Amino acid sequence: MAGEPYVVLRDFRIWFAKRQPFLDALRGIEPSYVKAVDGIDLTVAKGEVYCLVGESGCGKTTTGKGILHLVEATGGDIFVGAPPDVLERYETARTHEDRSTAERIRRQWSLAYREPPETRQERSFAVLMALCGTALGGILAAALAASVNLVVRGLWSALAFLALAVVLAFVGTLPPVPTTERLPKRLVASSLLGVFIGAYLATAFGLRAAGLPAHAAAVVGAYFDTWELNLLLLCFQILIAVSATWWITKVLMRRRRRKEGIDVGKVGRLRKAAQIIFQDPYESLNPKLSVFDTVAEPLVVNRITRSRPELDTRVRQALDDAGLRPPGDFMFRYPHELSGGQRQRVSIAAALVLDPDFLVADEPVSMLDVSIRTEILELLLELRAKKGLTYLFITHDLSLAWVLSDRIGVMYLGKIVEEGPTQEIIRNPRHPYTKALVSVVPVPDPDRRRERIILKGERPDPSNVPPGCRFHPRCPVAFEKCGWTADEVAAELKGVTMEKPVGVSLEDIRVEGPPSLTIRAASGGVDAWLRNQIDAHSEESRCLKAVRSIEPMDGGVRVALHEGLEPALRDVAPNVKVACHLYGELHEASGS
Amino acid sequence: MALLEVRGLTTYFDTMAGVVKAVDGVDIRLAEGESLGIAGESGCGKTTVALSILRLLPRNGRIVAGAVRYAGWDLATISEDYMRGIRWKHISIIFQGAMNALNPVKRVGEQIAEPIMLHEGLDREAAMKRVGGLLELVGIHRDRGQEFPHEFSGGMRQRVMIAMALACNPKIVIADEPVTALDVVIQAQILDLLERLKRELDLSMVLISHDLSVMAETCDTMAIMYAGKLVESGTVRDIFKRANHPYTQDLIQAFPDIEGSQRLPAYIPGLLPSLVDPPTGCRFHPRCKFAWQRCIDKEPALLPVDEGHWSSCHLNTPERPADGR
Amino acid sequence: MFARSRLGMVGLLMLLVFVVMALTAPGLTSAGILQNPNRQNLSDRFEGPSSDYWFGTDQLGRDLFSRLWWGAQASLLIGFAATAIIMVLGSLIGLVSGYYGGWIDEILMRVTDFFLVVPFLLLVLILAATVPPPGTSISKVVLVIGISLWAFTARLVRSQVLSLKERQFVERARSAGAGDFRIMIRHIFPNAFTLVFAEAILTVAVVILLESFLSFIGIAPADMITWGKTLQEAYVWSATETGLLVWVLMPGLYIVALVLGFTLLGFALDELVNPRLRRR
Repeated sequence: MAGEPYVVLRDFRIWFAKRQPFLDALRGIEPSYVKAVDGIDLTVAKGEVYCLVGESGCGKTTTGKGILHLVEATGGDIFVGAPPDVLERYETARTHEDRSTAERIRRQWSLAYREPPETRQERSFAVLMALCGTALGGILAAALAASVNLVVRGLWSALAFLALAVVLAFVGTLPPVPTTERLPKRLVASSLLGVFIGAYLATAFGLRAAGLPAHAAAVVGAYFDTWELNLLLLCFQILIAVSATWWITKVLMRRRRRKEGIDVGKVGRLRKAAQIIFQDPYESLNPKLSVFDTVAEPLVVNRITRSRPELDTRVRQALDDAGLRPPGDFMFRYPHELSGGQRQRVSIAAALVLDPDFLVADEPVSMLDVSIRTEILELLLELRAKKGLTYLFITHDLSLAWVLSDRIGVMYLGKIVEEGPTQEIIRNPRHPYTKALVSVVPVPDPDRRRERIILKGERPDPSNVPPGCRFHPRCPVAFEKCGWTADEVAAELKGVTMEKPVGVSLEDIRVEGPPSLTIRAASGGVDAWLRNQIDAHSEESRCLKAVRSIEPMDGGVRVALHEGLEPALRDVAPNVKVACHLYGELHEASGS
Repeated sequence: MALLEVRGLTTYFDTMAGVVKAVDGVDIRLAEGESLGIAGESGCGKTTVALSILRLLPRNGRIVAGAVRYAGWDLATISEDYMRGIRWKHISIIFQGAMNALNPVKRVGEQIAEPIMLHEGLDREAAMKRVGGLLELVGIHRDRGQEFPHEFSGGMRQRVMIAMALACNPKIVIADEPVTALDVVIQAQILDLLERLKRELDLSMVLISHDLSVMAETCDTMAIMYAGKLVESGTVRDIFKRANHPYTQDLIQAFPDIEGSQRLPAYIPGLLPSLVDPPTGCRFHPRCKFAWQRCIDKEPALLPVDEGHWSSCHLNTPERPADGR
Repeated sequence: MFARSRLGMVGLLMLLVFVVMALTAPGLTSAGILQNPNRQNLSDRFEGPSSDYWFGTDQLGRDLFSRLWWGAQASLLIGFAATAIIMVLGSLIGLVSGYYGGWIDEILMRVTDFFLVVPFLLLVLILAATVPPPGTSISKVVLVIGISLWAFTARLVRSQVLSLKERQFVERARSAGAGDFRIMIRHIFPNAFTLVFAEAILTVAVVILLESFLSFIGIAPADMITWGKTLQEAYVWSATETGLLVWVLMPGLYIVALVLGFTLLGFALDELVNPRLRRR
């Protein structure tokens, strides 16, 4: 299905920092990360159904949530519904390494964009602003000292702050301020706050110096006799300062966006274009809200409409689209009065009510009874036809992916290992993991006992990703390029060398730098014997294939290993991409 | 000769909403060394059947009628003392979702030792000796008995549950949705394990699941339940190749086949019925393509369709209308 | 369905008795059915129960029966007012702390910890001495009790919020674009509310007990009659030694009865709340 790319992910990463001891954080030590999603490139074309499959923990659900901005991205880019010319320009900028263009496009369109950390110049800018504020405060103090009338004083204060605000508004939107192109939002806010604080303090001290201690006290909130009123005054002033900062920042940001040609914030746009359907029909609905409330919420929250009759119409439409007919019967029921299938339809209605273009469906039918699953899936496909929707379907059930999707992406430990049209992936899997996955899917026919590739070992842990190819520890056809570590080989050798011939005594297997081991042996001829052992066992214990050479040395042998690399996702056939060394440049069609 | 024979089992639950007729007249046979699968959707009563066999029903559940014959005894009516002697030593069970019910503050080895100590009266040391062997039997290194449940993955915890179920060398193991919560790769490992154990230990198994594809792979005989009733039973080939009951046919059609067509599988319109107020006559009639007046009036009896193949559908009786199948 | 909890009904009935007492006290007194609780008959001091004085009299010859009848007002008033403060303050802090987490949570929880960790008697004394207005009035008692107890509710609400904010329907609301405020008010709080409400009822019981305790250490409203004060007077005037057991027993019994009523009601509400929480 060739459509324009609608959802594009590039080098998308979501890492969760593990909690570290407080002292480590203080010392600035990098925390270790759970790399749930570790650099994926994904494109979903308009109108297609793309299925992301994999075992639990592979990162598929996190990816889905990341696209919808429910989980913050750690790196990379997500474009949802960006115009094709923008995407083209982005790709061009990337290939030509045109950093600033890419950066600009990213800032406007990418939902994963994070403002880069402050530079020293930016920080000094903030300090500069605080000083300006202080100066202004001093002027204010002088003005206040000069006049006695309360009203005049009040007017001077107001004027001073107004002047401040105008200066900042102007400054915040000026092109190249010091050496930054644009001020990041965070900096604007902190500068403003700095100005206010500077102004306050300067005014207070100025007044004191001018011999008006009472007024100085008033400025910092110590005017009254009772402590409650003083506290109230202080809180009030803090509230004013913070609100003013927040409000002014908001205005400035909006002005800037308008200048750049975008009217609503990126996330606001995303919410209207993309929605999600969750897995658990029981948990995804608030038990205290009626069906009407749940389905109307997106409309209310996005300020699309508040009028009751309009909400009513749209909710009815959504419920009807989701197959709950007649809608009037369902509008005022509560989740506990509905069956699982009906609840899921309510979830779908709530997702449809904003008229989105893109839906992420996270295992939407796995908790429903088999006899009603197809009803819901049919509904989803009907909606695609009727409304031109695009789907990202997340599931661990390959049979479901087979009957539902146009394209499949197989994920393993945070990366996509194979991607292509459904027909290719299922009927002609290339990556060893995909082959295993497809082979173990049960079929409803006892006469077809399939040839199953059962992987050994447990699913490894995303906080401890194996080096080289992530799949290598479980791969039945791994070889030397796949990233075996010396520890893995050492452990295997210990097992393999259990039965030693007479005259050979191995004392110690030790890991030297990453790519080599030393084995101490008392006798000679060990290297030849070891080579035999390795040849004999390497088919079963794939890590032994990583042994590059065995050299005798003083007191034993040194075993050197091949370096492992992480395979990149590359095209191996039209539209089919695989990340496996078996399909790299050096091993063109040598799959075993 | 059947090792376990359930006849006319009827179990009801007393709830605030009324009496739930969870299981209503179910017949099941398990031969020695055989794997029986009880399949059905949520609320069909399959778990209740398992709990009834072992008399582990909650306080508001009661076996109203029927017999559960094992080794010459009727488990439905013997005293609780005798029943205690049967549980775990003759028939044991792996509960649904049990792998999440391991005690998080007790070491895994100790938890496996518990049933041995309780049911066989051994002391802790003796029990712990057996634990090592059990762990190896299920493919876990014996030293891992010292670890805590959170250090195990889902698949490994399920192996622990299997080890626990085998702790007292039972003849029959009932497994309630043993692989439902697991990924397909781990699922294959566990099913393989169960297959191997069945052969090595000469076990008989009752596998309860809603996933017919899994049963096609692992079971010898099957029983299909719907809304508390047994609708069809027979060998796994009888069920898949020569399905007789309309529900069985529809249910099999509802599973996508990764080696088959890419079209969406069929579905069964309608909702699962209430068990407090089930439909009259045949409980499936509101959703059945072939239903006629008799189906509304009279409950169909379980009749033999073939050797060892039983089905409860009026279409198998001579009274069926001319435009049958 | 609620009626099926017999204990709950018993509790409710007991409460109703006291509510009636509180409401009818002024009316009955002006109608002459109930004696004036403040009228001092110095000739009738320290009397035991009699046909004139059903519970006897205290050190100033005041009728104990009517004093205890009037006392219901103070107990219920303080009970509800202090509980209101505790619930509002505790819920607010628990909600904000649990929802935002991070440093807001840390700061708020350290404040809460302070109120939880300081030995209770010490806390109450400090509060009594520093909280305005000076002297003892009913509002002071309410404030002292409110400030000393809110921390427990805050912790409870916070733990509820922590688990609720991970629920899938909250994620859904967020994906629809709901902001923090809306999620807290519309999604988290209503689902925590049932627990909070049950907790509130139990808190009233604690507050009433606390109020009597405070009377013993001299922190009692100067302007109202409370059971605690009566008990304290009985103690001071050695009622047990002089055989005026009714003077000691009856206020104590009233206190226990009111607390029991609330507790039973609270347990019944808990039962109502929990099955629905357990059911998925």
